[in-house]
Amino acid sequence: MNILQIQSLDVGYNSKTVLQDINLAVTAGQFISVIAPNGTGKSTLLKAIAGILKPMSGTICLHDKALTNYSRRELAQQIAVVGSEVTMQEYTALQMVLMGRFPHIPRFSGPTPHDHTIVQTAMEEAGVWDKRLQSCSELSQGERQKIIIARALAQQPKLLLLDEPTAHLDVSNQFSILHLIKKLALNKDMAVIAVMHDINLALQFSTDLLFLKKGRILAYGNCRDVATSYNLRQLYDMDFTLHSDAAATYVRPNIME
Amino acid sequence: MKHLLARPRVLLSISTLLLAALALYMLTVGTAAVPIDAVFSVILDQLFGITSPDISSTQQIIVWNIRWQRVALAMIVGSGLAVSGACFQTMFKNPLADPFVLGVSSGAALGAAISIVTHRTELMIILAFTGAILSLTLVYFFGQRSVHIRSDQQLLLAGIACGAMLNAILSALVALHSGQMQMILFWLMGSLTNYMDSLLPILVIVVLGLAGALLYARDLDVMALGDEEARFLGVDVAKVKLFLLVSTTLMTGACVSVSGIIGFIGLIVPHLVRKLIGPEHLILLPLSAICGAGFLLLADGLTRLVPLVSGIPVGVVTALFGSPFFLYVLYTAGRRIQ
Repeated sequence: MNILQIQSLDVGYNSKTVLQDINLAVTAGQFISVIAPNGTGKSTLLKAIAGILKPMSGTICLHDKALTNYSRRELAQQIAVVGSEVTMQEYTALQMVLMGRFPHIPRFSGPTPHDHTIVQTAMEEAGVWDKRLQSCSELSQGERQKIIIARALAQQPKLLLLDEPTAHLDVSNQFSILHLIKKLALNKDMAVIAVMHDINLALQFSTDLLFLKKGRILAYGNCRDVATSYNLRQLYDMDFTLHSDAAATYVRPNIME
Repeated sequence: MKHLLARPRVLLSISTLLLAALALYMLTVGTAAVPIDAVFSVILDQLFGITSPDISSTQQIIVWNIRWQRVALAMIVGSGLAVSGACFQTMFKNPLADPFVLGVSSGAALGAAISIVTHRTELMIILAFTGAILSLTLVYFFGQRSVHIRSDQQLLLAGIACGAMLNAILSALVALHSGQMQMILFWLMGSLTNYMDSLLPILVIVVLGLAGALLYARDLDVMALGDEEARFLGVDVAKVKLFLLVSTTLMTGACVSVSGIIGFIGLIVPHLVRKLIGPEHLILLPLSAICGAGFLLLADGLTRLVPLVSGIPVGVVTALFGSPFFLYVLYTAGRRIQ
């Protein structure tokens, strides 16, 4: 069954349409990288799927029920979002991850031992359990990003949305975080949609690619089908050379003389 | 100390005990000293009906009718203002936000001034309260007509603009009615001596306000990360904000209507508590209430005990002693970060 089903979606701000005629079906186990030139509406797409931007027309269904029929709390039980800009305040890492349980804890009670177990598991999976008592403001960028991912895991979502999860990170952190996300998508009966900047990272870790151009879907499918030099040329108006070896496919822009 | 800060329940209990001790001390001191055992006897008599023979009726009147009234008022107003300030700072992600910045106090002040210039001072409390509610309605109406999603900046700016307008009307009233100028100005400076009626309605409003804020303590924790992030985590930000705006305005309106404008408590007390125990609202809010109560009690004690400042409105004292202390804390905290 599809986790997410988007049908002829138009979305934008005020009267300005940013994305048009988006059709998308997403099932568990998919790790979709959204690749697009700057200003194409990648973040807009994530906001629409997260339910904080109402469709102008068309529908977005989560488990066959329109997003608009969910409350914020119900949505947060199903969808977790990892933004690109992270504000932390003076919370400890543990307090931060515990916030992921917020949509699951009823108003008149507090976190139970069950919630604490989930938080511990999430932090261990993200490799930050030993940082739990540190203030988030003392942690490095990479550690903070892992804290936010642990928080998203603590939400126990069916759909994980990430907006440039590896921006501002060094190569080793980029790899460890994307590796973690890929593992989660495969193991957890969960779908991942990530806006990515680096097409090579996307090719290496995700199962599917979604190319957006001028507010429309240019191509969508598994990496091997979508990452063709024709599609890349359409996407960026530049020529690319593709290299394939046993492990993955690499893309290199042709240097313009 | 660090050990203690990690155990919020112990910290809350200790600070409550300290506050009670301070309140008891404030009941014993004044122009006529009343021994502590007499204070105890009066309190037992009034609250639980356990009468003891050894208290004079003068002591009874001094402790219960005069000092208790004032001590209780100081604690209620102090905690109400501190809790409102704590909520506002989180809701608007702005360290400068407090009920006064949003124009709530200007509305209350205008209502009170109208009652003074029309010689209807018996309506002062109702008019001040109405003024507070009306100014918030105005600010909220303009503040949320934002092009994008309801932005905090918009609401703050609307608050400042409405506050400026209301203050201008207030100044005009003062200028036109120079006869009552002194009374209006004294009220504006904040004082705990004006109010002599039953404290019960004010107490109920402040207690309900604190309870309401505590009910949304975990929502506030999440909202401190930003409105969008809070919505991703399942907080109905617009609903929570509206609820807390209304409840904090009721609290502030109630406090301002009985004590005039006592500034600085809503600003500095939550800041200091936040520095001490961190941003978790389930502890931050009640501890702010206790510290706000203690702070105003101390400031009021100064106006009663220190001859130099006696007769000066307590609102002036809170600013006079509060701001240097706040600056000191800012300075030392700044150094620690470097």
